[in-house]
Amino acid sequence: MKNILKTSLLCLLCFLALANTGNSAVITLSDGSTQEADSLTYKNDKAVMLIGSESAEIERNSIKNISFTARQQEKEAMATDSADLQAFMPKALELQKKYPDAQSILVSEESNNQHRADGSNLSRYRSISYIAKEEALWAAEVSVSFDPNRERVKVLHARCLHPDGSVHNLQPEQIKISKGTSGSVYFDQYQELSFTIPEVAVGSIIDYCYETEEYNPFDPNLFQGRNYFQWSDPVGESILRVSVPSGKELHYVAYNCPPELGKPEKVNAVDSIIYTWKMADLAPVIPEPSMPPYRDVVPAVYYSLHKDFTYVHNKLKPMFEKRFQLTDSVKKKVEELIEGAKDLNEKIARLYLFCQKEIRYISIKGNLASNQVGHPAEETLKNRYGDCTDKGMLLATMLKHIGVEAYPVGVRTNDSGRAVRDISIFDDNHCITEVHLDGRVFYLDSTATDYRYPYFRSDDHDTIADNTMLGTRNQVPLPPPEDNAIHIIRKIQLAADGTTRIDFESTQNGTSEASFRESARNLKPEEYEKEIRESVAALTADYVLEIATHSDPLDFDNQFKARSAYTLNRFATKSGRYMIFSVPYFELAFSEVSLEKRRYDIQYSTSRLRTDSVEIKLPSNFSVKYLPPALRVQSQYVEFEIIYDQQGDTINITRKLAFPRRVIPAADYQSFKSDLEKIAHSSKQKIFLEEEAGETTSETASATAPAATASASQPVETEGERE
Amino acid sequence: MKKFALTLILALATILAVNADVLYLNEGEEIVGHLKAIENGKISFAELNHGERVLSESEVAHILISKIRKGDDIDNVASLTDPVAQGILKNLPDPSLFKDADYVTLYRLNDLEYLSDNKIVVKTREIIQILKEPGLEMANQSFYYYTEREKCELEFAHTYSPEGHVFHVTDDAISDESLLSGTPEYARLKKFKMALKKVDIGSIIDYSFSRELSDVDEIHPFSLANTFGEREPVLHEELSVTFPAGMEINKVQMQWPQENPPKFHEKVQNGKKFWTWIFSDPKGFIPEQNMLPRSRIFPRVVFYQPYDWAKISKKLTEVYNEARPTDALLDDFIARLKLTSEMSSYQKVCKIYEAINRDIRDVGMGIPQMGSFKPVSANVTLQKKYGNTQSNLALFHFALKKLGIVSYPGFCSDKRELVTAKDHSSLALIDSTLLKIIIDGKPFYTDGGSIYQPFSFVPTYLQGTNATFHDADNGKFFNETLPVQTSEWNRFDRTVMVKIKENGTMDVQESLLYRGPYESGIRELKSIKEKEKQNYAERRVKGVHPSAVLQSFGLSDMSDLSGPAVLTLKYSIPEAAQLTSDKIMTFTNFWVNYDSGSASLATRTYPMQYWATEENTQTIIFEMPENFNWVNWNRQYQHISPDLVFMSNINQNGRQLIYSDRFIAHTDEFLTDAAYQNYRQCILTMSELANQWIILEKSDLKPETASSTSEVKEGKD
Repeated sequence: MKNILKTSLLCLLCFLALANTGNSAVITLSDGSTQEADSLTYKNDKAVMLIGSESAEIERNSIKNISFTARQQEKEAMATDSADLQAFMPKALELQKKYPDAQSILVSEESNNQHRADGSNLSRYRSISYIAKEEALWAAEVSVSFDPNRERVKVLHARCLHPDGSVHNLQPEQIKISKGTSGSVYFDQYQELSFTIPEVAVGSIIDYCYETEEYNPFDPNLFQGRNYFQWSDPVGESILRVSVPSGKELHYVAYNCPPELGKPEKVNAVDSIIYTWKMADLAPVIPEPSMPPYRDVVPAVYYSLHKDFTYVHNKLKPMFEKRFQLTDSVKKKVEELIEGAKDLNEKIARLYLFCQKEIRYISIKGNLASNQVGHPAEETLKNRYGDCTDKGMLLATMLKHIGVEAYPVGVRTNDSGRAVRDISIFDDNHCITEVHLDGRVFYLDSTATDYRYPYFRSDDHDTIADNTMLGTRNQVPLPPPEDNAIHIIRKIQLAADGTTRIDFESTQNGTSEASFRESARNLKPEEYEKEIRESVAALTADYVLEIATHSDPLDFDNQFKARSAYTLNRFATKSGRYMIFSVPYFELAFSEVSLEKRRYDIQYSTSRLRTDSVEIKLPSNFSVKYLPPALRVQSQYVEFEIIYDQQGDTINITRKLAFPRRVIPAADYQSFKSDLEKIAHSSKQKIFLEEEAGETTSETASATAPAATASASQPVETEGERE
Repeated sequence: MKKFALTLILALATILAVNADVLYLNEGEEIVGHLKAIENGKISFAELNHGERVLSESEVAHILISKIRKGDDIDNVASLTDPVAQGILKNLPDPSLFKDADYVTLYRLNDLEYLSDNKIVVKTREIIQILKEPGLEMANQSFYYYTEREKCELEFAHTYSPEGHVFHVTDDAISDESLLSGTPEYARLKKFKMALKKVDIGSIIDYSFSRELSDVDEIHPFSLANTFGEREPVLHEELSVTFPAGMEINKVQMQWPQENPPKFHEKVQNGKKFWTWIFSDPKGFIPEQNMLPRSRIFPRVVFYQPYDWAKISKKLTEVYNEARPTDALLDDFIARLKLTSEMSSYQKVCKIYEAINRDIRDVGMGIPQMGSFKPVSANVTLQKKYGNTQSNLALFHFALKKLGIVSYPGFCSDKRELVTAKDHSSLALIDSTLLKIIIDGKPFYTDGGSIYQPFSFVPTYLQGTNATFHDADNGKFFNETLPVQTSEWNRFDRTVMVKIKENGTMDVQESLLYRGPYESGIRELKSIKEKEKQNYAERRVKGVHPSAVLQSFGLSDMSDLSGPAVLTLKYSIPEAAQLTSDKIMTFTNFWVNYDSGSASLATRTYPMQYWATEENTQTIIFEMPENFNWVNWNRQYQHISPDLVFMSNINQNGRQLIYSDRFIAHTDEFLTDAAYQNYRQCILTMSELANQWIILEKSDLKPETASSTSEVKEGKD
């Protein structure tokens, strides 16, 4: 049948359609090919297509998709007039002189976005860039993602200008449309238009322009967008134009822009208003360690037809309600999960754990509903997979059954920049669950896999949650450092020959705990032991490992603990009568303060705390020659204290390091850097021992031989030094 | 044996694939159900659990149809008719037998049949029980296939729940994706992926797909290598090969153990020959640090269709001739190199090498991904400015020929591979391309290199490998072992001058010379901005000591690929040395950072690989403050053996304390316990040295004129 179809149809055409022609349809067959039918009927698992005067029948199993909105389009010749391009070469060379170390220069970029009276949208993008180094040759490859059932993409021109004035144009047949690749857990309906501009070489200019028409928008009143004006390579000129029909108001915000440039030029055209933002000569962004995401530091404009979120919320709310259904199967599962739970918190904890552990992360997107709201709770439960929206929806629905008010809410994770909340645009990249309990609002994120209730993912911290169902926006708090803590206890026995026996125990909570749990559950016991061995052997290969274990990473009723015990033979350095001892894995380093000066803030994922408690038993014939001094650092960004205390033959060290803030402004960088350097320096300080006169060190006077003394009945809560 | 819950079958909530169509409304909503009819502009759609809806076509954007696959009409385990699934589910082993396993492969079949000498069908089926959370990953499957020469079909993908229900994959969780569409000449691979439905701990997944590969010949050869044994248990693995009895297929069996080898069966029936290997390993293995690849340790079968080398040569000559660029394009390319008669042949070759790397973007598709030894036309390479290693080397070869310099296209595999074209007559056993160039009678080799590597550097993964070169003029191939040149290629030298002040501050001048694989990392600095280079240098010195402050830095000309790649750093480290009293100053040698993590195991189960042969040297000269003397360690740290050499010494000479060391690895595989123990001893010696502290003691006496380690011990005492 397929062969008949193939031979009876005109050649397949590459581009997508402009118009919805009523009864016509585009059929995608299971082999990926497409057929355009003038009309289509479907009955009893068979489709009959009418194409011109011919008809063809297709079995259901040969059909992958039927689209009523996608139409194929004839290939169009592209513009070859490049008269205006030559003028950009002198500009490019001028910019290259100014920025001789750039890989490429965005000489000119123009983005025109038009919202039309009928609710459809048309955007046109043109980019002209100069290739200054080999590393920028990849820029010749261009791809544009689009929804074939709602959008068409048309390449207006794509070409390359060489320094000798020759122009090399892309030919239409070199443009390909296909399903692009994505990670193994992502499924969607998007397609990709891609091409490579020919003859691109160092010293040439790349110029391409394409148009995207959203002819079938989800909603004729939803028009929004964003534009960034600065990149990691210099920008000569960047223009954003947004046009809306007269009578419609455009709301916008401009961030990181000089005041005079953040306000657009506004021009009244015949039946529309055009807003223009224009910026020129922007230096490249030089990355710094732990800097905020680019979009938070470069000039940016966001625009929308809606100032507040009411319209969007009203649009999405019915979708939320449809999915937020407490069906029998959801109720049944909840009942099964909470059976025997002693109180409400335990019930919440069990449901939270179920959504984390037993709903596998798979993201299936297809329409506004699944993009923004997800799938029905019932469906996610049955499929046992879903993405953040699906998991957020399922958890909220399950909590509803135990009388806990909860909602899936949108956030922009703190590693992706601050979400725009000043105007209404879709700016969230993640969904979590907002819980209202006993007058308190808190958050859970079941997209993670190893968080013990009530902890949740650190990239959600310090964000703003958008609750569509309530129409509210709440601050997701930054937890105190105590909620993301590692507590380490070491008991150390030092022998006269430098042999060191260490008993190590760590407990964690928050993100640190989740990370340990995930790592531990992914390793088999033997693999875990091997990993600890590797860690210990990094200190010295002459070691004996007695214990390397941890608590059950799947026991979420108790805090995760790890313990190890090992002996490092002749570890402490001896030189003459001196012995120098450093606590293994005690040094601290802070790469975020490696630069002498910074332009950008330091941004952490969340707050954190680490405490160390060390007890060192000294060999009997050694005295302390030197103990490092205590140090205390207290600022709004870092709290640190270390105390060395000698009591007879024992040295006790207590150390605390806390970062209570997530963001350290660049203005406070020098004092912060100075504090961290003091802390790092103190962590490198060693204990200096001196052998008492008249005593001789016996090579056999080493620490307890571990293999011989390790008792089989010793507690099994142990682990190696994995900090 | 634990019986699978066959009796719990009456499904209340089973989703059949027939109810998995998705209807997407224009306004953004989507409905899951079953497409019933499209007629007269109306769509009848049975919504799951909500009855039938009738919509106008104008409301609907599109409908995704979920294919009904084999077995999709079955919703409970008791109704299964497939004998394999039935048999396995009836005799499920007790999962407690695999207490540490993430999953257990209950059944795996790779059934390959040569339909003719140029057409192959491979059917793959896996039945896996998920035992732990990490095993859930198995529910997401993806594989690649050739766009033009291969037909790929998912036969079915089911999940059997512990309660006895059967669930089926639906097409919203299936994606068939194209790679490299923007460079169509290299868009030869597609990726098929799927997510199986309703997979829990305890669930069993069962999927099967088939692939039909056509146009197999000398230039598009096929081979299959299968290694038996993996981290997770496998209860039944079956590899089956069927081919016409008169057809020649070669097989190689290697690393065949005494205990539990795969069982091999052979038979001839109805004019066909059948080979079958059956394997079972209910334990799995625990990976070890730096172990050799699985393919070098566990039982392995490689089979391929042998070809006559003369015929391969003929066809390869043909396809290379087809890939030859037009004279005009090649002349233009060579003209742009501005070669002069004063240049030596070597200089000309370097010019071509650098031009190709500079101007042609590598799309990263190797021969295995292309499925062909036919290079893409050099016209495409020259005009579109992109290519892969083979097409770039083909262009190199054509340009050299034009200049009268002899070169041979070559092919090889990773140095760890033992089944190579040297002993087996098929290009199918090859995955990398090379070019051998004769300059003034001397051979040079390149794998194409990069803009960060000088001409003729052979990457570490190819050093010492067997390579097969094509001599088209004589219609034959010849084999060579690629050189291993430790001291010339894989080398790092560091010199540090350290002036120690009385307050413990150190003023440091450091010079680092990189050679071979290390070069790329440092030469990449040429591509970044000046401020980024400054940041790099600042971060680098902070890596030496958190208090270090960069004063200046410098780089040799990184664009000169033939010249040395040198980084210099000048910095100070306030309070670098710890003053434990007014007479004692102590510090570690910050530039000696050897750790023994790679020798963590007292003994190994599996042989060890080292990344490459190499040689590194360090010299650190401390200028001590007045009246301070070094407290002698009374020990030297050295390890000398045929495989590994580590030599170090430290010596006071007047105010200077001179430390130097040298590490040489002559081998990159430690196959026996004795070899590993030797490695471990060497690494231990180095890490002990790195842990050693330097103590300077102040005395009122004049410094000794020369103090060195007085007692020499080799290695650990």
